[in-house]
Amino acid sequence: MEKTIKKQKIGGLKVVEEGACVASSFPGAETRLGADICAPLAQQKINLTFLTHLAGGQGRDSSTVFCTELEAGAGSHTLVETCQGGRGRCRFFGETCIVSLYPHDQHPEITGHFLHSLARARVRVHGLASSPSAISGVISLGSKKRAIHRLFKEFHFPTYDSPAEFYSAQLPPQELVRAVVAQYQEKVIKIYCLVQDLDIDLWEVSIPSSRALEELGGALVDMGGRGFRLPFLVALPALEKNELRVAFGVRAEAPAAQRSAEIEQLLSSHLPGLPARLTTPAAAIFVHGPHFGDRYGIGQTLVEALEQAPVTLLGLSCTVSSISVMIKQQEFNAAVRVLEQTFEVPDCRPVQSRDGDKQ
Amino acid sequence: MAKEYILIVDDDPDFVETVSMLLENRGYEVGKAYDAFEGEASIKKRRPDLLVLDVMMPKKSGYEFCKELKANTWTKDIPIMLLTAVGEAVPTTTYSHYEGMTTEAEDYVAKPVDAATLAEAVERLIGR
Repeated sequence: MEKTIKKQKIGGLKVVEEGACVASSFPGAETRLGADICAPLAQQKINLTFLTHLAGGQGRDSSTVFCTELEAGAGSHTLVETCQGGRGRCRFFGETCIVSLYPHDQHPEITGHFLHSLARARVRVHGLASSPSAISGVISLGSKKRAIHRLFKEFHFPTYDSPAEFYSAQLPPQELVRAVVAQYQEKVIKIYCLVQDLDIDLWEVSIPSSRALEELGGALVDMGGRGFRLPFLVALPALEKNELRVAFGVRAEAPAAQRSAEIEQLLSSHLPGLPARLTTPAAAIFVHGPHFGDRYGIGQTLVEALEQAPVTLLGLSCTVSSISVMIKQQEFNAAVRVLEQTFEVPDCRPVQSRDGDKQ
Repeated sequence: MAKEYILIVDDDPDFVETVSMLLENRGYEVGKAYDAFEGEASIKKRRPDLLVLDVMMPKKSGYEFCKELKANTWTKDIPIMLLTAVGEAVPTTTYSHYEGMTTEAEDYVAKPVDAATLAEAVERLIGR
């Protein structure tokens, strides 16, 4: 019998339908995100509604997942496959949707329950990405109802009492908004805000099953209980194996050795025998809007700038209206410098109390 | 002196986060809501000095919410700034800035928002 779950109160839920998803991988540490994926898509003026990337190396491939509108999906897949020239793997998933839950406020338990919900609904996850406020998952359109139903079991939404109420309230086609924002193309791209987060531990695990994803969700819930913050999370299919690569960035006030020991202990209690890989110290840079998911070429501008700097991209997550990048901390100053040169950045710093906003 | 309190209502959570940062940086206290119903509940708890309201939201649009607030004796004096991604550039849209103004909102700002324009409009409406 299923345990009674204490529902998490959450602000909202959004589903973007009529999408397609492409997953690609390159062997080893070869970085081809800019040249073989972002650049050709931008040249064809293809809007990306979702983009995640994880660097390869040490026996792992470099992996990327992106989503487009449904009609651009098959063409995008062909384009990327052609650019890869047989050096990597590429897979196409038609009829997908992006489910986003917000705000997570960097609380791991929110993301943990989200993962737990998708796993319990036995939904195949094509990709996960975090934004500064939301956690998004790409799933097949056919499994949407199952996923939403499960999310309503684990979360309480102030505006919707049931999945039926949620469906009936959805906005008519998103094309209206897309048509408007796609017209907005400046010479130097304006962004709202560039926010940084330092001293992050970037963990990576390979998840072989829904059951393991459920356990990872449980581990994240426990991390929340211990005061950890979760500013970053992505997941991508490892095309060479039947696994999901999950990387997440955590931070806490505790000294580095203590916090990594705690995370190791939590992971091994939930996912015994599953190796976890740590990169530390890492830094996160959050590029806030506007409307990254609706405008082609912005991901390309960012990736190209970082690659030319050169800054090693450990991970990238683009969903809702922001891009989050994880880099090595020693490359942080170079990354900020190049992004400030590339984009028009207003003076915007998070107020100090945000960091002290512990649960 | 107490800070002026601004409530942002928008179903784009990253945008709410960003605008809240921009306004907190300028010394305002900020409340967040992700749709009109949450916004309504929030206003009942605490009356804002300014409401920054997105137009296109599910269940109840910003225009509808604005009309309701302006028709209510207790809330009609709350200055409202509408945020709209649908403007003059798209004549086929069902919304327009003109409609925005007929809802008696005090001002509107087009999305994507320019940070300086937003800050100026907020200062003007809040009377700083």
